[in-house]
Amino acid sequence: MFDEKNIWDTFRYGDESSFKLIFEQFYTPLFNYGHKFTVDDHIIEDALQDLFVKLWKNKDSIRETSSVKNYLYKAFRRVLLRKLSYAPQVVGFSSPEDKLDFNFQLGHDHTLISQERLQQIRQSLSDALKKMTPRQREIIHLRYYEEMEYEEIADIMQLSVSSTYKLLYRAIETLRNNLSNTDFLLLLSLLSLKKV
Amino acid sequence: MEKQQKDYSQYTKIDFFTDDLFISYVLHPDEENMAYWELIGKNFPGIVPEMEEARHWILALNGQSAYRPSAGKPELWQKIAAEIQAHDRRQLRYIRPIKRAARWIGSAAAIFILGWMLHEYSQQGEKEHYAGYGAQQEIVLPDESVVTLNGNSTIRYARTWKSDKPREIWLQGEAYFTVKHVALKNRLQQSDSFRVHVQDLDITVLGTRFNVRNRRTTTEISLVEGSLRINQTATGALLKVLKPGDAFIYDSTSHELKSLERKAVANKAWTNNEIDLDGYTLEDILHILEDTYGYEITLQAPELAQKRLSGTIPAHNAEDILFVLKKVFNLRINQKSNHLTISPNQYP
Repeated sequence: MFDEKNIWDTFRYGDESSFKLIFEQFYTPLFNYGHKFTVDDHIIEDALQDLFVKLWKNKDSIRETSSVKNYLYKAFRRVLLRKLSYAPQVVGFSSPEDKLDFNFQLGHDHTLISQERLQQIRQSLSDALKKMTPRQREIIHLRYYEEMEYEEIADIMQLSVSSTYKLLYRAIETLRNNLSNTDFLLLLSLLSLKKV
Repeated sequence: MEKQQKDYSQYTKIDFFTDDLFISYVLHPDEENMAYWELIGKNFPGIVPEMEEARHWILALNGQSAYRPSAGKPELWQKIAAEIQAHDRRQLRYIRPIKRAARWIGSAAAIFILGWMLHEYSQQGEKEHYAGYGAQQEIVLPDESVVTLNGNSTIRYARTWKSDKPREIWLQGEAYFTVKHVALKNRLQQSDSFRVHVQDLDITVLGTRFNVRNRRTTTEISLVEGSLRINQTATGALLKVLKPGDAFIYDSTSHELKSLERKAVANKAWTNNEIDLDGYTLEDILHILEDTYGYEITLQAPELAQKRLSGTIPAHNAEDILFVLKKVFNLRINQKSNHLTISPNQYP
């Protein structure tokens, strides 16, 4: 079991093996999170490198934290966004939608919903996410993928909790509009099926 | 369950999608929340498809496979490890020693300042001057009176002198005072006096010149000019009022004040680096050598002790005095560091 608190503390006292464990643990989630901002792997990798080198250099002044994950997400987000703003030629928030991919893995119990319907769900979700602003996508990611609380999201995204609610609400709105669209299409397809 | 009171009949998939309870059920099902949502499904059969769809959205979003970059994790760690090791080496080689030195200098400075402050504070009340063996020191007091300290002598006094209090000095050893007269004519006040505390005597003067020599258990007071009053410290009893030219010696063991046969002026000859030998026995001179110049002397010719001399001899240093004694009394002087053994010269 990854004892976050203990490892964070030994890292702060200069234990490199603990530091490596933290890196191992968070490399993939952070990379994945970074991928919500840019499709440029090099920038994400640079940001990760900067983040971890900076952590090591400042380990004497880093305090204990209630959540290592939140601490790292917040710090990583800051490093990455700064990098992206310094490199405007690189696709950042304005990354072309067609490059985004959302690798949905669907559940295994499809008792109530047909395989066909699941495909539609996948498609409509993907479409809805593509229509979202990057910040809306980010909040959907933090809420449904990282399963963070509103307070944590607010902390990481440097928003007030009420703004976090608003942002998520707007993201859901986009989803709702898009999904009702699909439902409309679905309805049409059902109607046409009936005709046949 | 309180939660059951909620009316889910109008819930759409979006509502379920954003419902915190529903989300936690979908992602972390347990017996309790499964039972709860199954019950909701039974109570509101119409919304079951909406629930199912929301469930799949949530699962789909949550179950996205993490994006895996082309470049590897070990390679990135290599880069980070190299950078932090370089950082640590720099710290070890340059920055830490500098920091340590800075910290050391900082604490040294702090200690120095603290020490200086303590010293200043301790000096707040009193000032002390000491003249070492064979040395003399001239001190100007806050009222511009001048004290000449003979060797192995100390004075102490309050750093600031208030005009409404007598000026006070504590003396050990020998000193010659030239006291400034601060009283207005015909307006003599207690506060105008100048007081020297020596052993168990208080000497009170106005403007005047006098010599005080406190060695062993005796105190010689020689008034050159002005007027002077001697009181006993313990009782406050007036012992004597001196006239210019008077010289008295007080013995602290017998509490007796006797007139000195020596002239008062002779007792301040040391301020001119001379010794006026009139009235001194050889023993007296040897006491001066011990008290003022710090020698230990053994006289191996007791018969010589009470011999007298007259005249003035130079006394810039102890050697001057010893040279004269050697010649006049025909003595042999053996010196071992500061110990002198004096014996008659067997081979004149």
